[in-house]
Amino acid sequence: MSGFSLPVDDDEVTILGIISAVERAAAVEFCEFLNSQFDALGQKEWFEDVRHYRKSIGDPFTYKHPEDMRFIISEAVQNDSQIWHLIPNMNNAWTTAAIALKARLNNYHHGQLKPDLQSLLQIATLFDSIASSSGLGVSDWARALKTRIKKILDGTFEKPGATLTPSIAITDVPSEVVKSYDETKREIAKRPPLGSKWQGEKPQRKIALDRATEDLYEDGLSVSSELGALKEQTITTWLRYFPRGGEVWVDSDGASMAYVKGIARMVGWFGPEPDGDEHEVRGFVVPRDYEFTGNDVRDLESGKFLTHSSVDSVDEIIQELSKQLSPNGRISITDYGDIFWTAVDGVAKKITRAHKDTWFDGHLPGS
Amino acid sequence: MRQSYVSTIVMGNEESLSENLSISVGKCEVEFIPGTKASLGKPTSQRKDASEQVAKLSTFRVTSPDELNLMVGLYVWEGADPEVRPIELLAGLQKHNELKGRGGMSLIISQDQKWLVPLRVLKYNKTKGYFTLQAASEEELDSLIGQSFRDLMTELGAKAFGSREAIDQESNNKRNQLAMIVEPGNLEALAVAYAVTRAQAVILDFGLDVE
Repeated sequence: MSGFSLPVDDDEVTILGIISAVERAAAVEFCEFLNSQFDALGQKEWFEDVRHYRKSIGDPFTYKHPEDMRFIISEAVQNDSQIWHLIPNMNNAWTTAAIALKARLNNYHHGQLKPDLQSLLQIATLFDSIASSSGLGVSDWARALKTRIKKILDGTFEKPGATLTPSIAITDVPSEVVKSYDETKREIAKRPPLGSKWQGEKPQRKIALDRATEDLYEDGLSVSSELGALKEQTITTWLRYFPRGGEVWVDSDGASMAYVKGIARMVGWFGPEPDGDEHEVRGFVVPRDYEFTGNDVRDLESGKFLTHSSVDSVDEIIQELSKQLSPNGRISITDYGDIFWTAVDGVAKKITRAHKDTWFDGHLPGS
Repeated sequence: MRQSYVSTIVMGNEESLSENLSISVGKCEVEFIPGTKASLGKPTSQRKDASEQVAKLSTFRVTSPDELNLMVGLYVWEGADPEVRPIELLAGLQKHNELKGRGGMSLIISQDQKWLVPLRVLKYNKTKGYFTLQAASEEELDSLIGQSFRDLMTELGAKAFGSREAIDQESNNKRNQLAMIVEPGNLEALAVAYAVTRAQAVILDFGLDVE
């Protein structure tokens, strides 16, 4: 394979385009391989056979054609599938990488994968893992991506002239993905996750958060009575993201911004947070995989447990997870702290919400 | 190729037609105001009993994205050691008041008649409840800017960098203090060292571990 599209910087459009292109190339290559295998078995209509089998045992089946990586992976990791038997060198490592890749591709198709070089590196690594052991050419592209991204990230890549930039355009990305990304970015532009960089102009109203008295002042007078019953919660949230205290600027909708170590950040709301759809999963997915064990949450990368890793108590979160999940269920979290599980059709189902002190240290913004 | 640790050096100023040099370091922008002028005052090192004397004053401005706008001066006194100290806090947050009236940088004439710059840092003092000048390790200085402070200073002309004993043969109780030696009048090195060890330290809440 030659003429791989590779990034030259962290341009979001290029990153989304490359993910789409690699996914398509891998799906086509896997599909060609499966076509030849099933041809040899005399099963030319194998995709329809799989569809009928899944429907016959009551499994949901939403895939429209076989050249879909999420379809190939979902079959390949089930040992009642013929595909599981046909892919060479199948082992636990392949299955683990494939499940993680399917989760990332789902995030991507729903506009929830952060379009940055770290996400692309993770996707390339997972594609390399599943394609190289099967001897597929797309693994060459995945490895070239890994090498290039690492060079860009460590500053050793020298950007070529404009004529050598990759020919990826947003039109290469499926329209439904573009729509999902537009929605996510609109949400973030409106009000970013707590602890993230502030978007837009600095608000006019200036309030001072006093760490010593845990009170709020405007022109020297306490204004915390404006918050009524929300006073304590508001000040706790502000101090969580702005522990030193000082000036906070409040916008007309209550969104509040402060300079934290020199950077303007969203630190909370003055008053109630505007109502949204309580079932909606907002923002980009944190690129980690978690498992609900039944009475705790385990970070699959580090092996750490939430009850030993969070600053605050996580009892309420564990209780909510217990109500909606069986032990060993996979969960994800977005940068807004929305915890969700992914249904078979790829749709994110919100369970509850965490903040930086009720989640693993360093995984959410502001920590 | 040698990496440049000074992220930006630009000439020009949108507000005036003068071609002011500026250097970006960490979250700070250091803008050099051209020229020098005579300034009447008392050297900090002789404040208690000194009479007023004239200094040759060079000024620079330290600004940051969190609204700091601080004028700082290099005072080269007629009859005392030179020093860098804040002139006026033009704008900033409450916390930038920590830079007002403290955090001056007293320079010492070295054995070889250059300037020795003690590299202490404004660090939050839990007992006192405000920032004070404290000794810092080289690792702590590096952490303030996310790269080698020594390399940055060398790039800006520092002649030596290390303990005062190692670079200036001092044997007193300050011999272990981190310092550097610069050519007399090297304003760029002095201003950037001031910006990192004073302004950047306060901006990053250095030493403030909030429970």
